[in-house]
Amino acid sequence: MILEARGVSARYPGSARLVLDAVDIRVAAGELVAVVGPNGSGKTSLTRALLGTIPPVGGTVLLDGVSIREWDRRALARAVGVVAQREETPFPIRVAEAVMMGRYARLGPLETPRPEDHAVVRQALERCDVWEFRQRPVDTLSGGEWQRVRMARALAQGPGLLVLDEPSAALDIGHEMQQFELISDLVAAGIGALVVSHHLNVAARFATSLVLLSTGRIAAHGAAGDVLRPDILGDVFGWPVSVSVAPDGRPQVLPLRQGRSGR
Amino acid sequence: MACSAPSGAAVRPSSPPEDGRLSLRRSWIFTFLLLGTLSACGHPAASGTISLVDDAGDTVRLSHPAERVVSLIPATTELLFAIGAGPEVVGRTRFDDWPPSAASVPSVGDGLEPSVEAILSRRPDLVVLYRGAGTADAVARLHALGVPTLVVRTDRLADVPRIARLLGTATGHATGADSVAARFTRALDSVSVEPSAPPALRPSVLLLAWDDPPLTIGAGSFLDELVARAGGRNVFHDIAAASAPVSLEAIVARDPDVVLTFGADSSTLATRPEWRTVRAVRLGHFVVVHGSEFSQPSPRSPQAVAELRQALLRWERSR
Amino acid sequence: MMRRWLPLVVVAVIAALAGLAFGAVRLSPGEVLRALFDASAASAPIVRDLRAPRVVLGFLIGGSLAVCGAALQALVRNPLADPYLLGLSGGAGLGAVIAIAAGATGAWSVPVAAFIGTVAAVALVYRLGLAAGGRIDTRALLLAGVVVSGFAGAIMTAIIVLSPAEQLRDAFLWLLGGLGRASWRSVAVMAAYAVLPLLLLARRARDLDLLSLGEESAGHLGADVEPVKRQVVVATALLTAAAVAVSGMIGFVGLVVPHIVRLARGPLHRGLLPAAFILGGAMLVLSDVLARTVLAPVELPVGVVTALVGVPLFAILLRRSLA
Repeated sequence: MILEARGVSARYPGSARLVLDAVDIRVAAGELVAVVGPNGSGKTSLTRALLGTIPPVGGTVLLDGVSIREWDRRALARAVGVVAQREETPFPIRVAEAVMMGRYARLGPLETPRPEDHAVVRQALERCDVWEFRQRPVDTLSGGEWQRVRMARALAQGPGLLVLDEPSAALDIGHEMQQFELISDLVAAGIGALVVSHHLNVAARFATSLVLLSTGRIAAHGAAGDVLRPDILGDVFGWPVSVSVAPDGRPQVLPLRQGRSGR
Repeated sequence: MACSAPSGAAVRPSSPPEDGRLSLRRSWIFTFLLLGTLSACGHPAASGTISLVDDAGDTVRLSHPAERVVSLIPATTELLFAIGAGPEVVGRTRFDDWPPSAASVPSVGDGLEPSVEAILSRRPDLVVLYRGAGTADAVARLHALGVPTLVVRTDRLADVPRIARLLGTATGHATGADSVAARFTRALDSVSVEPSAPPALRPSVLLLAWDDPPLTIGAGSFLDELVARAGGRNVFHDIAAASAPVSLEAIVARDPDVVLTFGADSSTLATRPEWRTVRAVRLGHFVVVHGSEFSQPSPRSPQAVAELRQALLRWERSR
Repeated sequence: MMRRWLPLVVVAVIAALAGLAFGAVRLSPGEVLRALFDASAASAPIVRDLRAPRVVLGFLIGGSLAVCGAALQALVRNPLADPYLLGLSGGAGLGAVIAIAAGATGAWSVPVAAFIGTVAAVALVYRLGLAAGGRIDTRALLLAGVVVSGFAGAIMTAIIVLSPAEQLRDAFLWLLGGLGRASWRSVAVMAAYAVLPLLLLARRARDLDLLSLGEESAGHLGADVEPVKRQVVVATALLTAAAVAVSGMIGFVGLVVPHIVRLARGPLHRGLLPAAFILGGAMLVLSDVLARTVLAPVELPVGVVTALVGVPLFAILLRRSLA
């Protein structure tokens, strides 16, 4: 399964400013592509354009060679699992029910969930370490627990690709590593993953390749070592950094102290 | 079916108020009269003062018979003309249509939620209002401005001679009022069916004001009295209010002989399956009467009784 | 699974029996039973031709209102939504009041006028709620509903104020709602009419679950968001318009019943919609019994009873759920 954007430009209705400007990106099965960049650089907009939520004003988005706009919604839900940054439910459901919603795209309106659906849901709950919460109403969960539940829901969809927008934003380092290890395992097993993240170092540890966005354009892309360079990062983030290498060979970014007077 | 069953103080839409002109001389006289009335307040009753108690229990003092009366009830407008005080009526509500000569009196708008400004523009020395929640405020404001008010209820037949006499005293037409009251009582008695008449001659009547939901007239309305005097029996006489919505099944259970409506034809009820459970509807026993004599108790009520009686007799004969 | 539905079914049966047994006229249980089985019994017209269709109509209308309330609450993601949200209350009232003030004489003039008023109001709200690209913006829809209802309501009030006192009273009584129009014929019409919108909503039960998560998430999980929103608006508008045409504006059933059901068995719509239908129907039938018996032979408008019953009920449940 391959999801790719070719020269995609996009803007929000009513705005003249382009949030994406001729962006190329490609995620294939077995790859973990991390999208990084400063606030407002277009990371979330990129996921929206990739998923067909906002129509591009230029370029195309293809999933397995077919334009994303031509994909049937339910088929798309079976192919791509999405975890958005935030989600709120006015009517609280239980965790297990929430995860079961990932199976809705495989169920007819009159069908009740089959044993295989229950099995998939159970597996997803366990993999995301939320099995013990399965009967709790979702409005009693912490931000991090809710994020893991939504990850489980995305897994329950049985997708070939995952699009994750800040999947570890509310997680402590233990759960964050757990989350990325999980994503990494899934990628190794054949799923593709596009991960938007603020956390440069974690992204660097796990990503197959990185895409660095800056004001809607690609500032750099490729292997972590090629993208996470002090000159590029200093330019894009407007803050001096130094880059070291972790024991596993991956670059790690260290923002430098400026002192009390700022830059 | 869409029909209108008037209450004691029916109000209907009409054109905006017209304006009259007042001569300068009369306005000066009015000013002196007003000052005289004000100075009379708080003093023991001087000779020539008229003292009345209205239906709100208030004592109303007039230093002399009223010469500029604003009447905010169709019933009192009709009564004022009937007792001979027509020339003294300088303001009416837009719904007052009897007698026909009342049309030349300027309208001051609504009667149940009166416009004090419109009333004052007629420079009244007496204002007659219906006793209700909407008028209480107007009464207070008129009092604060020194304008005497008479608050009355005109719901029942007995109110006609009583209010006639009250208005007669207030306007200096006591003899006219007495003769109207006497004529009314005589005519009413002569046209009414004896209450002890055999039941066979007394059809049971459903007084239907509205059909969706079914709205009936109760003992609190003069229409109930009219029907009784015309020889009928209101099946919902046990309801104390002037009108009330009732269950269709209660109507079925009380099995009226005839369905009586005021002003609108109700025979379309026969096309509705739920109404066909009522025997009178199934058999087509509908009686309708028209005319503003059914809108309020008035000197024309004996005539209304006679009309009702004729209508019921006509229906009986046609059975 | 059957056990979960038992309490609801029991409540429904009790409501139906009460609706047959009680009314403005006192009938013994024996008379009621005899009337049910013998068309020539003395009390047969009351039981068979007045009370029985009233019970069925009560279930149909109460049930439809509750289902509409639930669906709209999911659509706008707001627990305060009720069936009259999308401008319906103003449109229906205005249509009916115009018919009453014009002295319309046909047996069905007022209901048809109310229906037309409702549909016109919703069409306007729908139009106002469309964002660029023909998408429904639910927030704009909500605001448009409030605005259109308010505007129509203001015109309606003006007409009422300028009308004769008896028309004022008649319009007011009609607006307060009642099941007095119940007959086997009106039941058949309402039932035949309601089937399609109800089925349409039932078919979209899972999409309503997803819609509650927000439109983006719903789309990602496979919901066809725009068609679902359109269908919910159209189905609820038609159902509510018919309910209002037949029985005036009965409030609180559509607002309160979905919440009661959610508190008891969760918010998933495959169970919520049928359960709301049954409970809404039962609640309206029981309210109607009270309306007919409390001040017999005077009949209270059923909308008054649903408010008096629904509000404390809701308050109790709310306190319990917050505790």
